[in-house]
Amino acid sequence: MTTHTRAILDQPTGTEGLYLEDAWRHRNTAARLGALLESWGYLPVNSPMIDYHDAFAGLVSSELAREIYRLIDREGELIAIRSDATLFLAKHMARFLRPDMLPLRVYYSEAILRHARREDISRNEYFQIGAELVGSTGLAGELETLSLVLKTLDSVVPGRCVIHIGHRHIVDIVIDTLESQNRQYCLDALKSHDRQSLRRGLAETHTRDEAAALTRLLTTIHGQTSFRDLAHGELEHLPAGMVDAVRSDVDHILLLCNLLEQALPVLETQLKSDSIRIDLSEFGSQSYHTGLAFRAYVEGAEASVASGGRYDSLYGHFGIRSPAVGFSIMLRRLERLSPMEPLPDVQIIPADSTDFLKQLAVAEARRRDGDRVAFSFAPGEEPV
Amino acid sequence: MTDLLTIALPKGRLLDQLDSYLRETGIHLSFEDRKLIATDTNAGIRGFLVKNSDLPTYVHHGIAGLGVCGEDVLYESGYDFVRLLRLPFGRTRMCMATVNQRAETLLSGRNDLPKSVDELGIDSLLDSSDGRFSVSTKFVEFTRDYFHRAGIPVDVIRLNGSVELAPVLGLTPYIVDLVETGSTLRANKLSVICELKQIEVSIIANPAYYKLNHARIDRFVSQLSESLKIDSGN
Repeated sequence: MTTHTRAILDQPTGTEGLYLEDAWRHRNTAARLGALLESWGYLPVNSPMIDYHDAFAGLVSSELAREIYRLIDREGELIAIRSDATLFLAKHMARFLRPDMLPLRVYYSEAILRHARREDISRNEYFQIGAELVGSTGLAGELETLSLVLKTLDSVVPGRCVIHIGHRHIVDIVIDTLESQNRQYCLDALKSHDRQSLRRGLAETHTRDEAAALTRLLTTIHGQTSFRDLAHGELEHLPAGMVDAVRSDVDHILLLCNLLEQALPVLETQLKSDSIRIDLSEFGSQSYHTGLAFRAYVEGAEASVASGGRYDSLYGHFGIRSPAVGFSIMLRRLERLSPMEPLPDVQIIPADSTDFLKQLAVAEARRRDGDRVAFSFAPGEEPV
Repeated sequence: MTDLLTIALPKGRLLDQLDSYLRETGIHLSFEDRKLIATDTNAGIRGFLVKNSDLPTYVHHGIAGLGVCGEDVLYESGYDFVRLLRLPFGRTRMCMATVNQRAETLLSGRNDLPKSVDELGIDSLLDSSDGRFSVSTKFVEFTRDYFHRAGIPVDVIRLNGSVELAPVLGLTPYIVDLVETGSTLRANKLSVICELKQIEVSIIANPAYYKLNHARIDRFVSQLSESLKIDSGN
């Protein structure tokens, strides 16, 4: 295959084009979710497609760093193409935010561009819709964010999503006790739910019982009741220095989940209480995550359909001290699981150069009544 | 039928070893008459028989929720998986090897193999004619990452099979390959000069699949680890 043929028939990786019905459904879903977010007081924002790469130094994970497309602008500056909606939004917003604007509710619905291997056809992350509550420190903001993400997901795939809630701070407390060369090993083990490796890594610093208790605490997925029983049982076996700090975060999660469970009927979702799970292996995929971290899953999707959490130091990196909590929904993954919305019918009116104006008037009248109307032209005919 | 757990199993020797343990836990997957899909309705599990190197792709895309695969193949795939259980069989070693004569020079004065490539010293590995360090292997990602982590620049040439030929025919002085008994190396007058990593076989899961089906999967892993008499880490 020549380069020219490939250029015509293929497409660079990292993005996705949408066509016709597919594009119509995508825009419809995005508009519907945008309206829902606006009904909660969120205002739309559009972050720039490109920004200075150096602005994000130290904020991106090594995984994301490998996926960022970069270019050099005419002044020789290294430019990053938008690869993470939250990062680009924070940088952009920090230029305009003033303390008197907080708390601020914003949402975005935009494309990102990330390198993906050609054979990896399942990414579906290129279109994201998300919301951020900037300036909220407490439980209420987290509860609002979790309620909103469940309400949003349930509006597309009713009764089908589950949310796994974790806490980055608990993981940080544990990891900080380890020797520096052992930290990444244990984080990788936790990320991949590799209990054998995690326990082995933790046992380098802690006793066997402590390592076992920490492994159970971090890797067991629970509902509220069983988590309460396990967490408070395991707390007795944790290293003395971390008990109080972990207990505080555990109580925070339990309270959050309890309130979220009570919110489900009020939100009028079709979700049951078992759709809320406590899972401390969810600790945020990016280095800017701080406290609450979560992901949502739907049967049939090969990866999580939404993720989010708290990132209290992200805006500080750009010069504005403000906590923030938010989420992103991988819109395309979700769309593929939602019931197929039929395209509305389009009425066809024949028209040609002799009667185009007359038929235009007919079509406009029908359009005013809410119909969709298109012309059909005879071959070789052009409207005047 | 959507309630069935799905698992991708590698064709070949590993399957035979795994099958006896699956049977001990009450799971009977019969791939008869060259069939590639088998279902045990009573145990609630469906198996797909796939080529070892394709297994991560099936699990990554969620076609199979679970899989049984070696660390070498997982590493080359580059995908993220949940690692549920390391199995006590199918273990092998990722080794660097070279022709016997060069190996004798590199290992002279030693009683055992070096524990890492650092112990050999980069200078001793460089080609005397062009000062480069080049390796042929099927495991390109692993090899590049291994030597880069050790701070060693390496030229990696990808081969898909008969890697042992590369030093014999002069393509590269070294190879990185899996070594079990070492008989193929010996037959081609090659010797291991360093063991780079112990390779284990694991049960893996697609992360989203695990999160959605964690209770059933944990139960399955627990039964299997009991049958295998190994500690699952719980």
